[in-house]
This record gives sequence, structure tokens and C-alpha cells, in this order.
Amino acid sequence: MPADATLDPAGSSLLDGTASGPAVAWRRAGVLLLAGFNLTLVQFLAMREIAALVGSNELVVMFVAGGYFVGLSAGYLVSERLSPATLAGLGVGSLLWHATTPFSVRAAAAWMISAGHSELVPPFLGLLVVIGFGAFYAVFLPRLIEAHPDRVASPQRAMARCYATELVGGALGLLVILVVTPARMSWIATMHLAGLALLLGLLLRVAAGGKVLLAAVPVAYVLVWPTADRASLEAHFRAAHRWAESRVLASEFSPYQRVDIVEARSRPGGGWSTNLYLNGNLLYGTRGLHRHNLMVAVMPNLMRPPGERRALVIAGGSLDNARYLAPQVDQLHVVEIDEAVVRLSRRFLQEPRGQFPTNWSLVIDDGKHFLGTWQGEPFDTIAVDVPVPTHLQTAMLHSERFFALAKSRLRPGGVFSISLAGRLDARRPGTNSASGRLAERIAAGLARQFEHVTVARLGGSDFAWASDRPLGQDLRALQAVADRFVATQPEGRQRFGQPRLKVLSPGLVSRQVAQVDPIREADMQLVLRLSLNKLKRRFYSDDPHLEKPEGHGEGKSGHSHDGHEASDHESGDHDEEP
Amino acid sequence: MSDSEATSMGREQGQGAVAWLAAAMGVWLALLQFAYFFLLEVRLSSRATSFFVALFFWLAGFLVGLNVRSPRVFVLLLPASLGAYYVARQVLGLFPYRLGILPVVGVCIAVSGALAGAFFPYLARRFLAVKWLLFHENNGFVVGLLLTLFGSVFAGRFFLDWAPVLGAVPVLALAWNSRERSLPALACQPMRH
Repeated sequence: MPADATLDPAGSSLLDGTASGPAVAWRRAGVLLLAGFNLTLVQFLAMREIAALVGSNELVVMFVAGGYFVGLSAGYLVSERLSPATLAGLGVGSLLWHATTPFSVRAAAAWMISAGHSELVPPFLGLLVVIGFGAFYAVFLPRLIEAHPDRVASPQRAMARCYATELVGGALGLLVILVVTPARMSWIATMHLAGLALLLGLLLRVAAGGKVLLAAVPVAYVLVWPTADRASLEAHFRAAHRWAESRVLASEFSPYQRVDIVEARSRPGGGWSTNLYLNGNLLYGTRGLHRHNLMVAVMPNLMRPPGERRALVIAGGSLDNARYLAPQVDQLHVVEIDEAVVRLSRRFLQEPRGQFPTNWSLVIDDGKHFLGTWQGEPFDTIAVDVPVPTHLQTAMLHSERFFALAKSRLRPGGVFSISLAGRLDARRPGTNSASGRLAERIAAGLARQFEHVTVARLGGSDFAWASDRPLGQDLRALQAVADRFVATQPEGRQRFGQPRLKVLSPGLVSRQVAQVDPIREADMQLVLRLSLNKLKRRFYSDDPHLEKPEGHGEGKSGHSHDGHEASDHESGDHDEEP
Repeated sequence: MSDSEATSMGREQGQGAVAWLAAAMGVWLALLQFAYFFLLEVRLSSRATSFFVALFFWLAGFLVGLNVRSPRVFVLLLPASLGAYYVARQVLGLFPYRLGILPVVGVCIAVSGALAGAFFPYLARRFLAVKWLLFHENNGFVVGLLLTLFGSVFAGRFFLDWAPVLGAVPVLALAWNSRERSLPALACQPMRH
């Protein structure tokens, strides 16, 4: 057997113990390095893209991760049973398959939803993750350990060297992701394809023409990406979110999520709205979400006398709060963990509207870290503008521990404001358990930290304003503040409608939170339950309000660029947990 | 008893116990990783930087562990890894939100990563085909992910506090039970096609 086995038809001597020599050793190392490199990239691609397609939450993340590792097991199991020809065929098939992702996956999911089979989307994606991402690359490590010259004499050395090589490849993949950044997902996906093409080049006997073809695949992919990415995303948004028409203005992966700015309308000829989606979840663009901002961030500040308006908004990435509050307060800090959300929101949501204020400061940080390390003057108001907690990260911002931290950063008489993600007195079947009573649990945590918790209701949602002093405003005064604000805003009526507030009686609030456990910082039970409910609503429900664009059945005309009427009760992450 | 009979008996005996050890180790590693992840999220910061730094330390530890030759070091890493997690937990409890202590926590994570790395060479020669080592360990990891999911749903904070200890118990027991006595070295056959 020649030392250089490069002429071997399908790399079979590379993968068994029959070939040796420096050239073979280098090729084996190259295969392992590339397998490790691509395993990291493909896991990243799966975790981001697949999770975003189902509206990422903690449960989805865990299932995608689990599916990926099940795929690895499948690869290990069949590793030595695959003939060289089969392995080569799987490799070429993987290359062609990955040359169509994520576009084909989005299109398939969109088709299933449009055809009325949304229930097939999660299992379809789950199956894809298992067989279509890591399984192929998992074949090489066990085979090459067995083929290592030291396998008999020193199995430990064979294992250590092969695994270390694959691990170095994995670390290189991680470095690529960090350097290139998730914002350039096309580059990451292209590098994955290039790595796969290189791996196949090492495995197969490839003539010059074949090498050109292998090299052409990643080149063609990166050229096609912009068009295919936009078209597949728009198709997915139309199907998943029931838009009649949609245009993706921006789509970018940040280290945390996929950020999409989508211009859409719910019926042909209707008004266009600009919407912000984070991991496929609607976070901005509807009247309910505008009203959310009004109640969480704007009202608590407008209620305070001038000179007592040092405001902090946590997670105000859409920057609407900056627009409304900066002219009204003495000092404004906005803390947002995701720089991409702020940047894209500023460019596509705020600047087109003009007159965006500049007298406020932005801090890119995690909200609890910011408060935990804050050394400055205490705040008069702290508003937490976060969605329903389907991630551990956002659940912690609804915990009693966080409320205590926030209280320590408030001036005496300062107000802490947060959405209760629902109605405090709603009657919901099967929600007797503490984990199901989200609004009560949030309010219970507030009640333990603050002497006075005022719950105001607007439409289908309740909002809590907590302080160590009474609010000092009755309903009439609050309504007047809200009306005055809406009247003074450009497109105020279009954005906010005619908000009619209601204040729940303190007695009712006390009764609802009595005997209810607040949310603890480690409340995965709550997070997973909410995540499961959200998945059910999205894919296994006939809820007419599910992910519904504005204006369906409302009979109202469309409005200008950002005008968007809606029913008061609408879906989206800010809305109540059913 | 002939050498071949002893070899055969040792191989079969080794497979059963070490297969379970591989799976148990996979479970424990999943529980440890989730516990570290949760610790950083709650006590330090949810920013991606802290996650990637933790991942870097884990990988570095893994690489170091892979090059550990002595089985004794692996055995020492078992309790050390558990201790490292609780040291990290204590440190982060004393100094929450302080990014400056990330290197200290990182070293603890690296110790746990070193255990993961040292584990594979330690068991490599106990398996007739190394794919079974990888297969069982990976399956254990998947089971660990499911246990994390259901444990945190039904047992909540208790599970998250005690998961690293709970995961260590079967590993320590199986490691003791499957320790090599005077078994002859397994004859590993090259693969046939």
C-alpha cells in the first residue's frame, strides 16, 4: 500500500487503518479539523435559524440543542457501518442540502403554515436538526480514532490526539463566529459550506473539474444569499404572521437573536406598518405595543412633578421610549442588551419619523448588571420594558430579587413600573398552579418589595406602578395625563387610539396576590410553561388573534407609514399569557 | 484460564460497567454545563461576552484534560470538578455582577472542562470500539439535557442548586465500580471492511 493514499477512490484507506505515512496523517488531521470547525458552525446555524423560525424561547433552544446532540449520537452509531461510497454520497448530499439552507427550510415552513398544517412545522424542524446538521460530521472522529496508528498500542494517545484535533477545529469555528460576528450570517454559512467542500476534497479522489465544482458551491452560495435570504424571509413572514404583503427592510443576527424589521400590511391596499421582530416574535408595531410603552415608561414619568424626572428604561430597544420621554424628563438612561436592536430600530423605526431626540444616554448592558453596578444618582422612575418571560433572562427581570435591586436604586418615592403580562383578575382555566398565574406572581413580588402597588389597566393588559409612597393621583388625573400626552404626539391617535384607563382597587390587588409566590430568579418552571404555551398557540391553536396583523376584521382604513390600527387585544410577546 | 479467555472476560466485564459510566458522565456534564450557564446568567450578566468567555475556559480545560495521561489525575478531577462548581457559585454569590471575577470563575469552569477532557482518554482503552464510548457519553448528555428540562420544571430551585451533586453521585459510584483491577489490556482489533 503506497504511503500516499491520495489516489484512493473514496478515501477508504484514509478512514481505516490500512494507509499510513505523513501525507495520510495530515489528511486525517485535516478531516478532523474541518469536521470540528463545521460542527461548531452548523450548531450555531441550527440554534439561530431553526429556533428563530419557531419563535425562539427557552424550550425551543433546549429542544434544538437536544436534537443536535441526538444527531451526533446517530453519527457515532453508524460511523463504521458506512461504506466509503455511502459516506461520499452523504457528503455530497450534505453539501447540496446546506447550499439551500436556510432558504429551503424557511420556504418549507412557510408552505406548511400556508397549507394549514402548521402543526407539522415543529416536528419537521426537529427532524431536520437531528439528521441534517451534526450527524454527518460525527462520523469522522470515531473512525479516525480507530484508524490511528496508536489505537492498539496506546488508545489514550489515539483518542487524545484525534479529539484534540477536532476540538481545535471547533475552537477555530468559535473564533470565526466571534470575529465575523453573527451579523454576517451569510459569511458564517458560506464558511461552513467551504469547510464541507474542503473536507470532501480531502476524502474523495477529485479531478480538477470536480475541485472547481466543489469550490463553486460556496462562491455561488454567497452570491445568491442576499436575494434568497430576503425572498425566503418575506415568504415566511407572510405565512407565519399572516401578512398579505411584507417587505424585509433589515434582517440581522445579533449575539442574542435574529432582528428583523418588516414592513407589512394585512390586506392589499391597506396601510403599511413597520414592525420589529426578535427571533420571530413581534415586539413593535401594533397599537397594543405602543400602549404598552405608554403605560410602562411614559405614564410613570408624566405623573411626576418636573424636577423629579430622572428616568431609567430597561430593555427599551425600539427607542420609542427615548422618543417620548427625552423631551419630558430631566435625565434619561436607556439600557438595552442588544446593540443590533438599537441600531436597526434607530435607522428604520425612529429616523424615518424624524425629530428623534438626542438628549438621552444609551447603555448597552444587561439590565440587572447595570443596576447591580450603578453608582450614580438614584432614579425617580425605573421602567422595565420586556416581553413575557419565555427566556430565563427576561424571567429574572420579573423576579422579586430584581425588584429588590431596582428598589435600592430608586429615590424615596420613586416608581418602579412593569407590565403584568396579563390581567390580574382574569379567569383562566387550569391556572390554579402558581406557575400559571403570571400576573399575580409578578404583582406578588412587587407587593413584597414596595408598600404601594398601583395596577392600571388599559385594554387587555395590566401594568403595575410600585413605590414606597402612594401614587397620589386618582383615575381622573391619570386619564387626563394620558389624553394630554396622546393629543400632543404626532400620529398620537393612530398609534395609541383613545386609551381608556382603569385602576384596580387596592383591595382587589391585595386579594389577588395573597398566598401567591413571587417569581424567583431561577424560575425555569414558569419560563418553560410559558414557552410551551406559546408554542401551542403558534402552531397548534386556532386562536384568531394569534400572530394576527392589524386590521383584520376591524373594517378600518389603513393609515400612513407607521399608522396601524388594531384591536385592543392582540398577540405578541408583550401581551397576556392566556 | 488462558490469556485469551481472561482478555475476553475483561473486555465483556469492562464494557457493561464502563458503558454506564460513560452515560453517567454525559449526564453529569450536561447538568454541570447548565448549572454554570445558569450561574452566570443570574449572578453575573446575561451578556454574550460572559457566555463566550465561559465557553473558552471550558474548551481550554477540555484540551488540557485530553492530554492528561495519568488515570489518577482523572480520579482527582472528579471531586475537584464538583468542588470547582461550588467555589464558583460561592464567589459569584459574594460578588454578584462583578465582571472582574470572571477569571476566577473561568478557572473553575476550566477544571470542569478538564474533567470532560480527561474522561475520554481514561476510558478509551476500555472500549472495544471507541464509537461506543462517544455514543454512550453523548446519549448521557442528551438525557442530562432532558433531566435539566424536567428537573427545573418540577423541582425548581432545589434541582438547580443540587444538580451538580446529584449528577456526580452515580459517576463516582460507577467509576469506583468499574475501576481496573488486574484486568489484562484489551486487544483492540483494527476495523475490517
